[in-house]
Amino acid sequence: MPRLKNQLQELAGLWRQFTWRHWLQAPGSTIVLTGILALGVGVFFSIRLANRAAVSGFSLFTETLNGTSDLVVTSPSGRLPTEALREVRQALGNLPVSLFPVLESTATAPSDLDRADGFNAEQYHVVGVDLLALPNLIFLNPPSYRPPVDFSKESPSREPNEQWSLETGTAYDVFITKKKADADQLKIGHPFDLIINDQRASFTVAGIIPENDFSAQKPAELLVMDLPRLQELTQKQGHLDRVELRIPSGPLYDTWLKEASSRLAQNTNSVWHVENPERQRQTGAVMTRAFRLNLTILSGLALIVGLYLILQALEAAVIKRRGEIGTLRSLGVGQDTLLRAWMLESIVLGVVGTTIGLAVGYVGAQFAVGAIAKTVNSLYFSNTTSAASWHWGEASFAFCVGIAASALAGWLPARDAAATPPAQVLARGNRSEGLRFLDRPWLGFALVISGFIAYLLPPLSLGPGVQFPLAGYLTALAWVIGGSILCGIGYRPCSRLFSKLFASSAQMTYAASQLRRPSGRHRLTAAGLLVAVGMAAGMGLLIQSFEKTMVTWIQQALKADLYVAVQGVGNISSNNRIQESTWKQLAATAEIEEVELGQMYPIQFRGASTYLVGASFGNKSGWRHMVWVTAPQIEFSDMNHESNPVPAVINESFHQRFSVQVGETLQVPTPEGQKQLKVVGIFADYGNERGSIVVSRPLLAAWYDDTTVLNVAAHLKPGVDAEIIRRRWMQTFPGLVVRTNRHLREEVMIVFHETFSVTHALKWIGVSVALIGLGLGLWSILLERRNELRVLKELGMSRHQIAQTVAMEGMGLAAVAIVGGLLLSVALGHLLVYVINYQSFGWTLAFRIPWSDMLQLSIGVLSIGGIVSYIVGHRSAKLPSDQEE
Amino acid sequence: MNPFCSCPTRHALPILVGIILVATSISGRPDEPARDQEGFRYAQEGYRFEFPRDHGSHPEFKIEWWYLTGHLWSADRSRRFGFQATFFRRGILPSSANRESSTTSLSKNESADFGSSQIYLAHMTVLDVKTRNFVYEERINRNGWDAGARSDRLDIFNGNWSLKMDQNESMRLVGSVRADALFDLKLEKMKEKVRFGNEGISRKGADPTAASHYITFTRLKTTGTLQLRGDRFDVHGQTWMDHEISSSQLTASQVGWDWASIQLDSGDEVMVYVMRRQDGRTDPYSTLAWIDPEGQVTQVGPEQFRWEKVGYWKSPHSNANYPIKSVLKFKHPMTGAPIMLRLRPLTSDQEIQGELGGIRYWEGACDVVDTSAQTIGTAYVELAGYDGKLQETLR
Repeated sequence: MPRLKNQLQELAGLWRQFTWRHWLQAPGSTIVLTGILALGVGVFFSIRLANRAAVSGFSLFTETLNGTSDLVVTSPSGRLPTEALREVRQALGNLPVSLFPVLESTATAPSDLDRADGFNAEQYHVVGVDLLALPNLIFLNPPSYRPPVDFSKESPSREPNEQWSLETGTAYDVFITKKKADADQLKIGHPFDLIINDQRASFTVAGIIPENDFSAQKPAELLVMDLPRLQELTQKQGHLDRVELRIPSGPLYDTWLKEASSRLAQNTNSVWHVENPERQRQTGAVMTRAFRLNLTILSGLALIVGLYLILQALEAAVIKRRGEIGTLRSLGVGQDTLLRAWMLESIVLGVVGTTIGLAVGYVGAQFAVGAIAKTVNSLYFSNTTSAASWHWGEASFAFCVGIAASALAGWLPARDAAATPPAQVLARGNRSEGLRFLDRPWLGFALVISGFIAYLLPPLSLGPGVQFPLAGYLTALAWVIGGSILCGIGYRPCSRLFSKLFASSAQMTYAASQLRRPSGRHRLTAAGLLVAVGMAAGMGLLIQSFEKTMVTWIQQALKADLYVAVQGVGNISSNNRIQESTWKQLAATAEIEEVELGQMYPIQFRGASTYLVGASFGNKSGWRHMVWVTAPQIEFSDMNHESNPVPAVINESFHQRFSVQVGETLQVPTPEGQKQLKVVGIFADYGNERGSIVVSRPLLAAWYDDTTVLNVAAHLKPGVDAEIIRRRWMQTFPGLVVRTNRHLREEVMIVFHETFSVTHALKWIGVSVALIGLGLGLWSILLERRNELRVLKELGMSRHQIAQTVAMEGMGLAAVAIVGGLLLSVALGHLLVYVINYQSFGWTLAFRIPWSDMLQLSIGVLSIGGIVSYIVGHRSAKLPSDQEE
Repeated sequence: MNPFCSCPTRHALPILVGIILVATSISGRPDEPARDQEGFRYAQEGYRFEFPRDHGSHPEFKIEWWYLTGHLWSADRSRRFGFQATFFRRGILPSSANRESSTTSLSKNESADFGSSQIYLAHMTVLDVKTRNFVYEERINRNGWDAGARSDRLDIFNGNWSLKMDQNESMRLVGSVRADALFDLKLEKMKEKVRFGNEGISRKGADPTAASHYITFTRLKTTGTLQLRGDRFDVHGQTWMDHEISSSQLTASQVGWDWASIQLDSGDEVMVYVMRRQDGRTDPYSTLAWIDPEGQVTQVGPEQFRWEKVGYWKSPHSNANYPIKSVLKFKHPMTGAPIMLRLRPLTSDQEIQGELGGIRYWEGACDVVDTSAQTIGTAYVELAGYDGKLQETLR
């Protein structure tokens, strides 16, 4: 014990004299170092938080207002008949289980006639519940529970004119969130209009839902109304989306939950089945798992680059203080003590930087969540998340990652410091070799080859119909590290090029000589930049490939003149539909030659979510121009015949997710029971990653007893101006958005770009951090060369000339990193397009290299790298040979 | 106004008295039933009871309740319990009352799953005398898939709670309270049902429409099971059941009421209520009814009995001060001998907060003790309006 005490005292003394004193003397570098770590952790944490928020938007209603449901009853066909309520109650017998049926819909705010699109219309998530029964939740929760909002029909706190109505044919009473009330200055009793399906409907504010203190704030777009009124409004009488089940909390809760689960499981039939809500959430989480992992890995990029920087900065600190270290060693301070002192320093930096990073990340998440939620909306399911709430689990994870990164980054310099012999006191300015692993080309080659082997491995299955390209990511990791090692090969050619190009310039010759003998720090600096450039350009390559593919696909698939949808049908789970009377009027327009009608329902297939789609296979059908992976060998008109099995085509995502081939017969759930569908073709489609099974719409309409449609594509008679018809229809049907072919193409690309907005942001954060790293790396290199700089000055070189020299050296480093990075990016892009993307989403993309973007990135990195290096050189020229900073 | 302002508790007597105020418009020809402004029918003399039909729902009337209170013992009599199970119905829209219909009548355009013509409220309580643990639950639902009542016989349900009668007038009651209790009881009549009042109606005020149809089983043999927390008991005991049908509103002069159902070991029963008026006086329509072992009913007015309050309990939940201990004094309707019944609660805290119904009240299981301190029966006592908010709630 006394020994430990002595060691701690020694460590504390060293900390004060050795670390703290330096921090006070040179706060700038400490702040920068902390800032880098904070940025890395912040980006990582913000993306994780925003991811969680976007996915948690997939929550159940009672959870939103009153806590978690115990069980959920849904229909595999996506349409639950209300008769199921009685069946479920009967199956439960005497058990005190409360059932909360839920119907959800979407609505949009009316917009003006000239609205160009419906994608960006303000969309509302309308939740229909039995409002009268909702106060029963009081007795299902612990006695301390207080309902967040008074849904009582005739509460004593309500004036008679504030009571919501049970009766049909009256105004639609709706509860709105406080956010909405504040934003639109609405109070109880105030009217407002929304478009639901293709009709304008008048609502009256029946109550205001306050915000919960302990959960993510409710988005302004949530509306709650009485379920039968929503059924009436959406013409879905007799239909539900799900039934949420609650068992009262208390001593018999566990017994009854077990009994209820068992009884319902025994009575499950083809119309309804019971699920644990956790499993439902998991289904949502599994659906987005690949997406979230992709983002996490991207956000990890910032952290990895940050890790490089911390390593560089701590190495620089070792160099600066080497004299002092030698003195301490001479005075008898042991290697272990020095190692501990350095590790302590890096960990303290880690704690401070990570703590700041958590705050930065929380703020950043509020901005990122919107973009991520938009992507989730576009690809996976409807969610209304607009804010990310604090999550201790995520914070702890990010904290641990930050500390681990700083400890890891601190380890190599700490070992270097501890190994410094006392004699180094007399040899200030001598170079240390730094990180030697970067000087092992064989290791780089080995990693690249390992990557090729991993490239050939199959994806990892994460659940029904969900695959994760683990081997693909391992390949990427191996290539990234291998590439950063191999980039050292480029210094000599670069140096030769400099020498040849600028043989007459002393500065350039000096700069070239530095690159000819690169130190470990040169390699480390370039490696960080190479990783950033490689990843950024690789992502750019993926996006470009995706964009080109989309453009080609759109040109081939979108052949109609006008496209009609209900306002707000911009996300995949929008429930707004066009009513039969409306689409029949559209079809009857004199200038129309033919219309195609589309409809889709989310269904459960082999335990995973997918879509059952209805389409027109008429003479003008866009299906005739579809991009086919395997074209159907039957006439399109044969698709419309009810036969057993029914002919169907599937998209590529479905084919990939469920390994379904042409010729297979599928059992698909519908409200009419299981239908047998025979796959006759596979087509390319980039609309969703859940996959689609497409059958003739009239058949689907009969199975679902639903004549509404999701969209209408109209072919005009020759010579008719599409714009005139568009304006006429929009005037006649205020709930519809009518787009011309050109409009639709533009909007698809807008949505496409929005989907990748987070990727772009992450890419630039990574590059920016890497450029800061270049500056820091050069600074530490120049600190090592203080004596040389002094000699250069004594030889008459001006400060500007020294700065030029350093700028060239920095640009040389950047050039090596750029060349290596671009090569890496092509490899990564290939991997992303053909392995990671295909295995994650099932989309085949055409490989396109974004030459222009790559050139811009290269020039940008080279220029900024030059400027940063110049600034560092200019500043370093002021350093006296014995100054530490 | 609360949806059950007019029938918050078993007897909801102010409802009936209040008819005086609302009976401003009695429509219809002399041979047709009188109806209120909304079209709901009033309880009137000459009503011809038909059973089992009249055990069922009467959607042409605005309000109706089936109210059961009982005392249970475990098989070895080591544990004793009290329970209350009440099913209320309130009409929003009057039904055309197709009495041939086997289910609740639906109004035009009304969804069979999510109705808008009836609201069903229910209360359940269980008292464990040994632990003095009293638990209760309220529930509200619209007519439809999860609540309803047949109109051709007694078959009412609200969630998993239900009350069903068979052809022999035996009943099955299923109830539960939160995650604490679940009971399944068989109720068999030990005495024939009685109808309080005269000529088929129980008059509550001077106005002829101020009345209800009031049917009671004063003593039902009760057997079944009670699952209470982790324990399961085979139980037996006795239950009192009221069924009242009316269409009325409350008067502003009411501040509360006291009510008791008493089952004496002698085979006699007593039903008594005192309505308290704002001016501190007892309403003249307060009543005591004596039911002898043969089921003969004798009723007396407030001048012939006294309800003395002898002990109070202040609720820590509501601060209401309830007179939970009382003494009932009257003369035997046949012999004229003085009778003094002391009503002693089995525990103090048997208060229902009225989270959904809006009315807070005390509904407690009691023992009945005579002058020599001998227990001579069991009772349930209802005390309403002691939190001073009854009028506000019922306005």
